[in-house]
Amino acid sequence: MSWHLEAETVVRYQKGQTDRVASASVEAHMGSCRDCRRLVVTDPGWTESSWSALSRVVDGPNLSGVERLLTAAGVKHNTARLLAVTPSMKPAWLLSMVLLMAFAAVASSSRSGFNLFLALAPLLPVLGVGLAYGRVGDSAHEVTVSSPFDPVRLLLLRTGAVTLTTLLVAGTVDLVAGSASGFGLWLLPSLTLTVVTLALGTRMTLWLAALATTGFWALLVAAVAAPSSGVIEPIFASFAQLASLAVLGVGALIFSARHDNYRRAEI
Amino acid sequence: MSNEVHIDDLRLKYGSVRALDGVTFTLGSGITGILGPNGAGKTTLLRCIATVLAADSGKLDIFGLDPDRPSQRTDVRRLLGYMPQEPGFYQSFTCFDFLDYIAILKEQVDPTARHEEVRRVIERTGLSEKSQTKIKKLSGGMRRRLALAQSLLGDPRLLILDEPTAGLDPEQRFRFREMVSGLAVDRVVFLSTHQTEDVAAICDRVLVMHSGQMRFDGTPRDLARLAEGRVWLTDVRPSDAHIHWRTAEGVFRGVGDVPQGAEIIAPTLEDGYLMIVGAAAFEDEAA
Repeated sequence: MSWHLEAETVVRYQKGQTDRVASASVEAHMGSCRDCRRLVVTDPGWTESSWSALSRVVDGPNLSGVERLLTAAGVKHNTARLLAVTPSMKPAWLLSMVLLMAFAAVASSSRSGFNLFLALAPLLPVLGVGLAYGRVGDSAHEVTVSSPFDPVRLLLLRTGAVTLTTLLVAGTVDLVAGSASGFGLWLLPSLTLTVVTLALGTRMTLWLAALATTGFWALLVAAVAAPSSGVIEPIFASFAQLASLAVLGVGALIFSARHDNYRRAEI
Repeated sequence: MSNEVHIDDLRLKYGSVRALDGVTFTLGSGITGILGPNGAGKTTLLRCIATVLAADSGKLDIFGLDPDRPSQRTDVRRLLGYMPQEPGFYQSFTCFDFLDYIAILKEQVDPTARHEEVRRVIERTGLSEKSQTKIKKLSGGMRRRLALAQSLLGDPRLLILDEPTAGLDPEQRFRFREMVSGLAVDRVVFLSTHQTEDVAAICDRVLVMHSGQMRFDGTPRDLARLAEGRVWLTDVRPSDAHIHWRTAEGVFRGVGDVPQGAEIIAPTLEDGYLMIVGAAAFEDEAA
């Protein structure tokens, strides 16, 4: 290095009295000049605290897109992190759900017969909840269950988030596409099937419970669909909605009585 | 509060298989290792102590608390750190984020204190340079460190490590042992392993489990003594009735009945282990 900083410039730099251009020039020079670096009087305490502050900024948590969205929606950061690892809260899952619902709504609006939208809408939360907790959906399930955080609280937290998200998607599509049978007929069956899944999950893995519920719904739809037109609206008639409500109640009672099974790792 | 873990007549069946068949012992401070072939019931036992699996019958007392009672199970979980045999990770998370997530599950609510705790375990397990690396980019050895790091969050009094050195190369195993042996101060550490070298290097006490039953409980030296006068070397291949193997020097080393003309040598911990589990240990190696 053929030139060096003047001592006065270094003193002014340290006191923060140099302008931005001069500061940048001093820093650029000191970066490659050991002699000038030695002119800077260092305070070990200041260096330590600065380094520590810098380390906290660099070596800290990174928020995913889902976490940012959730916190922006008012969810606490800790809760957002617990929800963000759920496969059925990932962008890929949410996008595929939107596309599926949109396709089902378009197919159903043609009135070619089978009401695809009504048949599929109740299954979205069921499959989402099936992946929200347990050995199949949560790769860190074993560690999760051994932690003091109440697994049932975690299950309900994720179930609530997944159910709300899927209902919002289905509701939006229903509203936009304008279901011919009336808005929201699928809502109660959706909740019922979700609660039935949670009740079955006290006896088997939650994913298996979701598949069993899905299978049951598929059989019901196939049995009720009119052979010529494929219309499944009787499943959503008033008496059927009442029956759905009753099943929801029974499912909730079973879940309430057996929910402690979720506190072990076999679910 | 008691500083011991009591396991009393623990029993558990998977179908017709008795995974735990009346297991009884007590764990105190220090490192206790449990050896046994595949299917011996080690992982089942560790999962029961880690409260993730309920036994069919028997009693568990962890520092005076009963994990079968839901009200006390949470208290037990506040005191334990558990590293499962195959800990699952969220591949897209960085090490820091994964540990932050587990720390939330461990009820560390305050973000500043929690992040400090995450940094502490990261430094303790030598992961500082990988803190911001995504888990999918970590080597097997680093993943084991991360698994250990999550178990250390909250400075647990009871540390349960299931096969912590599995899949590590000899140098990584050595470093891992160093790390684990530094954790035993004022703490109950219970680890399962296939590696008798792990037990010899870091354990104060060793248990041997086979077919769901506890077959040995003592010091590593006591285990080696079981094979006193029963370990031999011979130049000629013995009959298949003897448990034996060929050494690097080209001679045959065996444990059990001494063939004619064989030279008796001092036993190691592994020889004592072989005396208990016999041929099952070799089936395990093959598996």
